[in-house]
Amino acid sequence: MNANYFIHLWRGNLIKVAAVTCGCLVWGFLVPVIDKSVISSLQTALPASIANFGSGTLNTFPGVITLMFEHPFLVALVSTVALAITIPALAGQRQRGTLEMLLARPIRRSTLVATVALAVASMLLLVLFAMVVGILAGSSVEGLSDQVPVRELLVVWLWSALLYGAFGSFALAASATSNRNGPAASWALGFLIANYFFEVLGTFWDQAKAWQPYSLFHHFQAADILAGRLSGVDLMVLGLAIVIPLAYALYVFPRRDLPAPD
Amino acid sequence: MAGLDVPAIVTENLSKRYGSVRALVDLDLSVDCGEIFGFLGPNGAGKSTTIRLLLGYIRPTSGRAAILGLDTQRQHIEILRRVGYLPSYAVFEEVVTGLQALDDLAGVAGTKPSRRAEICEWVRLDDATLRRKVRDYSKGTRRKLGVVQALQHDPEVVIMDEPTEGLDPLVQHSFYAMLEQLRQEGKTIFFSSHVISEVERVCDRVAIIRQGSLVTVEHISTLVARRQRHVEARFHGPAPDLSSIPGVTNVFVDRDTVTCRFAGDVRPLLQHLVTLQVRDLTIEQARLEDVFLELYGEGEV
Repeated sequence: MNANYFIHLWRGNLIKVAAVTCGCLVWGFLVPVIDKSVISSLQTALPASIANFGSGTLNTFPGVITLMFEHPFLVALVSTVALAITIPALAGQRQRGTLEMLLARPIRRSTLVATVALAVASMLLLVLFAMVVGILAGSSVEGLSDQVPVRELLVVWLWSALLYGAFGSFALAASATSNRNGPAASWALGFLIANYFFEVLGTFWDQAKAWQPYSLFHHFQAADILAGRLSGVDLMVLGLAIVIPLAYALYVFPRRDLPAPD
Repeated sequence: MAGLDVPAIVTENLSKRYGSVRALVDLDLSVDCGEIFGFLGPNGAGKSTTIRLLLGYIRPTSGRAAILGLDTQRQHIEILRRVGYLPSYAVFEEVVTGLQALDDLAGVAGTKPSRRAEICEWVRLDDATLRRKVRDYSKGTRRKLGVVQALQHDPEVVIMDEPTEGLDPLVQHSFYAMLEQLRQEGKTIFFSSHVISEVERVCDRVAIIRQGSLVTVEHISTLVARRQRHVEARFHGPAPDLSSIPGVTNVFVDRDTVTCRFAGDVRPLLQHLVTLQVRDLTIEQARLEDVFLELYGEGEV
């Protein structure tokens, strides 16, 4: 890893990361607030198809936590880091021409890829931790602290970082193979949406449940983690989903020809 | 400083293909340490491809290249520690100040910008300008910043692609003086350009490249001296035909004036002219531009 480039990436994305961190903090804070003030009064009136979403449910507080972790808003928010910082870091720099200046320094391309991966991973850990802090703060304010399994919530945090890390890793591979932001973003966003679609479709349509294991979201079972049930298979799937694209990026990027930018 | 027995830059049968397009064909070059080497050719001739091969941005289809005795593919990190590069379009992050951009690049490289202040002075880039955001820079100021980033770490070899593009004449003048200073310090400068007058002014030797193939590599003075010079003589009375004099070609007589092309030893021509009633005589030194156009026009390889 190149420490100076790591700092450069952080400094360059500070506003974006700060905004997403604040968003996650507020979103996390709203979890117990929504649970207490809105959902608790509606849950009996809601049909099961609405009360259950992904592996979350509106019927229990841990279920609400799970649901909020899988909510499209959070997915979009965290993707701002996982995708929108990863892609410009290689393909975007290539498109703008700044990569040419960077690669004129004595820095290995594989080091560059690894530094981007570590920077994005640290940013993901931060923004998702803000979600956890928000949940804890909101629970404290709403008097629900006794219902929050703190240790398991921290495992959820790390597990969610694996999930979004997998999308970040895929985005990195797309970025490493592309000369422009557009194609890399299309691949990464398409992959994310396809995964989300398979997971959500199975929630509403029983016949599509068979497709859910093909979604990375399906391997983030926050409800089970909060209940203390950890799946080695899920961990392995997410681990591989990070390692394989990352290894691909580390292999391909140093071997790519980089002709003059358009 | 590299040993004088090792060329600063050497390429052997260096070739690059993009599919069916031959961007560079069997390039053999040797650039000595301490010289300013011009690399001349029009856009698309293969100049940037050569530079990108030297810097390891692209891989050769065949052949090899070395800088300071180090292989450009296997040892390019070591090379980059000792080389400064100014791309034809030096692009910086827009939202940082010029100073921050320079610091970032030096930081990533892990090198000390020991010559930054001096280079800034040469290209007239003051502190106030460096403290402004890059997005507020003009094209010329961005170019100056590019020159500074290429030289701030005091590299042994400098590769410059169209370095004066966008610089105003005053800064260009100062830039040429800086190159001369670097040459005196023993630095090697690989100077790619399509501005012929600039190459003629600053370079010791020049390589001319056309459609990916090397046309010629020579000292500029030798190259120019070998080429035909333009001669115009005016006489008291009708002009004579000079075509019988060795080396004289393309003779055109118009009343009292004769124009011709001339190559080789000038003495037979002068000896003949002193016997005539010459009123005025002009022998123009051939310019590199003439050589360039001649080589390109005639397809001489």
